[in-house]
Amino acid sequence: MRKKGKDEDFAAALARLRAAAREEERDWPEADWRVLVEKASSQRPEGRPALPAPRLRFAWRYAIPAVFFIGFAAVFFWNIRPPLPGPSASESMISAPDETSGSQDVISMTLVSQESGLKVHWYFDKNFDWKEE
Amino acid sequence: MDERENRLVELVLQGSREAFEPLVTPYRKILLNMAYRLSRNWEDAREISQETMFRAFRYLRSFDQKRSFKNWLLQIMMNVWRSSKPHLFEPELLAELAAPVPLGNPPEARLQSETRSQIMACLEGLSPREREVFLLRDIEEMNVKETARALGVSALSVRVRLSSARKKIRLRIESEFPHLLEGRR
Repeated sequence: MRKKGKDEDFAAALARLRAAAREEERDWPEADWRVLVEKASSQRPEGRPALPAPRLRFAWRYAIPAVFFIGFAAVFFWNIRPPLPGPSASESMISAPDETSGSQDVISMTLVSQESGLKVHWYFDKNFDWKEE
Repeated sequence: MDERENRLVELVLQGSREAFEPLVTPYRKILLNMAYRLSRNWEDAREISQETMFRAFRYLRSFDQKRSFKNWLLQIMMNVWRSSKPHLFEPELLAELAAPVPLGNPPEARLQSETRSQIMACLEGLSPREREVFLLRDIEEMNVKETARALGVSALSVRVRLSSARKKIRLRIESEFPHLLEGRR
């Protein structure tokens, strides 16, 4: 009961404080206000919001480094991914012509099967007649 | 939502710059005094009000016409005030400012306080965040939802800060302005 009475007194005191605050308010000098409005309205209007809300700014502060971190981690783990079982990609490709022989008369080609690992060597002579091993 | 204001907003957006003055003039006093109560300095108050006007014009397109124009201006002002004094919102300083202020002033300080306005004296001892909430909710009489929106915080946070601010204000009134409790100004 006593607390309720105190709360009512405080509410009344706040109302009086508000009224006192209104009485002592100042205003803009008319000339200054006109100059200010003139300056403000001579700008170019934009479509973006006046300012991101403080919470949004706070979120951005953490979101941007997080995105960078995730991107970096993705690139890092992509590069150190373990090799797949079976013959490596380089092995399965057609090997380049053997240039150590010093002659272009015979061209060799090696084909490797990814499933069985079977290797087939093809040699071509200058007449492009093929021989098989 | 005010029909007259919405019409003026439309006119400004269509390129009629003259419509800006009647749109903002009713709030010039509120903005100036709110800025003063936040910054406790008329020079800063003028700058904050000025920047608020600039931003209000520049970003008028983003104003949601279902909302109160006055509350939107106050929201911009809060953002301007916070960005103009970011150091005031550092956590360490906030804790320091939120600490209770001794009520028994020395005689010279008391003499000085007698010439100060009652509202400004009551605001002393409030942290910047408590001051913002108290001014919007109890002096400008915005509701909790609008206060939360203007400050970019939750309604719960507004209630917590308001409760803390009111406790401090009550102590200040009891010790320095008991006549406010007795019904005299």
